[in-house]
Amino acid sequence: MENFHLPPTSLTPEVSLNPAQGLLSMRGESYPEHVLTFYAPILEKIKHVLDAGKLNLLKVDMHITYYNSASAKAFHRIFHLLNHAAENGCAVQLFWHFDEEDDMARDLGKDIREDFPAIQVVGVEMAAAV
Amino acid sequence: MQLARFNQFVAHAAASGVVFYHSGHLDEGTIASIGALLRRRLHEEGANGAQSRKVFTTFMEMAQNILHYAAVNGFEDGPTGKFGALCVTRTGQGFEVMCGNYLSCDQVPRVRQRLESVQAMEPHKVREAYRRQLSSDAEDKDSKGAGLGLLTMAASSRAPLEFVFDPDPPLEDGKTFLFLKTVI
Repeated sequence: MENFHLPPTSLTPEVSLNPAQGLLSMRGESYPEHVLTFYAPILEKIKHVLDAGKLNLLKVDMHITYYNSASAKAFHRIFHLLNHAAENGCAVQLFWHFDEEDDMARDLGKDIREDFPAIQVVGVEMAAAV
Repeated sequence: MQLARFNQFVAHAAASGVVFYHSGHLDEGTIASIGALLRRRLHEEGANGAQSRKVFTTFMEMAQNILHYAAVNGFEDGPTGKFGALCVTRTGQGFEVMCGNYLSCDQVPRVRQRLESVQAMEPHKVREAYRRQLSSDAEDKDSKGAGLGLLTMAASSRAPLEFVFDPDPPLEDGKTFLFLKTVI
């Protein structure tokens, strides 16, 4: 299956999906005007890879330094897909990076752990960027 | 404008602690530009990391709300699009973030009800409601998540959301201006 890559912009994160290596990463900021338009194809790609059922392990790296509330909803949908895959035999490790002063991102990490119990969530606290 | 009036305007803004003010048409490009400028201004003002993040978060939710929900601008001959005013001021302890935009009178009851319900919440209730809304909105493909935006603002604010409609009640079949304020 082919790799998928979107470069970062000032409003959207860099997104990489490498099915052969079982890697998904999202880094940067997320506040496009039309959040669903941005995330719909990404959700589609992730779903496609997970539905193929060939992955035993998916490692997800997320470090979103700022996200708006609409993006939080899109992440929630991604976590739904990941949780479903994890319940069906693909181990999912989510490395949730957040800046030390970012209370909302810290809390969201805790919520993910509670709401999506099949995903193994690893919180990674980062020193604040200047 | 007479230069003397501009002088007064500048002095008044400085006396009111205005750090940033934008009034005009908003779109995705404008928001990205003013966001970058706002971050720089907050840095210059010596905002700490947590404050700066909360101001930015609130400001962006307000901007997105204007983009998605404001009534089209109230000037008969003005450009089409979403007109909004956004303001950040310095206070002794921190910052205040304010916005203003047009609403049509039929939007007012629903917006007022949402604002009043968020205003009345204790901080831990805000967080509970945020989690609930996040789960339910994620199921609903059409929602643009206004509820979530207001809850995000409330979660960042040290004081309950403050709001005013002007005029209130709105003129029948007309527009009103909604002003909203949070304290960081």
